[in-house]
Amino acid sequence: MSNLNNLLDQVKSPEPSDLLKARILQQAKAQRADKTVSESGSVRAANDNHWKRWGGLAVLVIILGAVGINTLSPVQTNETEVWAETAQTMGYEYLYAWVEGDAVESNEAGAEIEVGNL
Amino acid sequence: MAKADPDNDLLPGLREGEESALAHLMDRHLKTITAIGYYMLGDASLAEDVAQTTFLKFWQQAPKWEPGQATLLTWMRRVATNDCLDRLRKKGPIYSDRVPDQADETETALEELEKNDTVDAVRRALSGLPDAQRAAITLSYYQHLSQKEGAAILGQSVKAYESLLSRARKNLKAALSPWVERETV
Repeated sequence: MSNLNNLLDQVKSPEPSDLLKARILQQAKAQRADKTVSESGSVRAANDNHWKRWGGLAVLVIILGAVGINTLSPVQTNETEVWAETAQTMGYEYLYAWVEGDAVESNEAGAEIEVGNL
Repeated sequence: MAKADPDNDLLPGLREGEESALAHLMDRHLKTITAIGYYMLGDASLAEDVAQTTFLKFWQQAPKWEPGQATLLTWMRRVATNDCLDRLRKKGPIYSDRVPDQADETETALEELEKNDTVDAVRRALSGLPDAQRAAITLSYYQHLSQKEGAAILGQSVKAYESLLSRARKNLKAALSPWVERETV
């Protein structure tokens, strides 16, 4: 055996303390108890179901989808603007009369009225 | 063919979470694992912390443990060594100057003083080694592992491990030259 080995031999590791084993066992027991509690905590109640958890979110998604489709729709009809344009072209009095029925008669008599996109 | 793990008999109990199985495992290996911590860190209290971490880590892993690849003791040695290397990386060398009591009633006071002086010098020489070299000395010299086993624990090739060990011995000889020469004379 070399001199170096003789020297290294002189350093001896002390025995583990008597309390160490008890300490580790205590910690192990606590870990096992924690695990059992966390496992039992994650069990779902029998009357629980996915619709209860996700129902609200599903409704919200449906509403947002409907609003989005409506917003992105290519046909945009603004009725007020059409009426205003027609009134400008025909004059408000004539338009009023036409709506009330007089103009219908004159239309039947041969007058051609353009009412745009009505 | 792989050697059967001598701790296989404890595995069913450990998987089931039986504390008596853990107690048996500690009866077999607590001293060995604590010694890794002591030679690596130079402090008995920190060595016990390393042992506690190692055994509790295995306790957590036990239900998933598959025998065959490494023996349980090899796995624990690897965990303990890595834990020590992590602690050294974070805090630096922590060898204390306290000389352990090694009282022997047959020795004279002068012999005891000389012996303590030598022990202290060896401890300081060990603490002066780079972490990986200290790990190699711990595994090969103090744990009596083969170079192949030591290399596997440190995740190195056998050749790299041999080189590490050779450098460690060279550094120790240099640090302990007065004592080495005194013994030679």
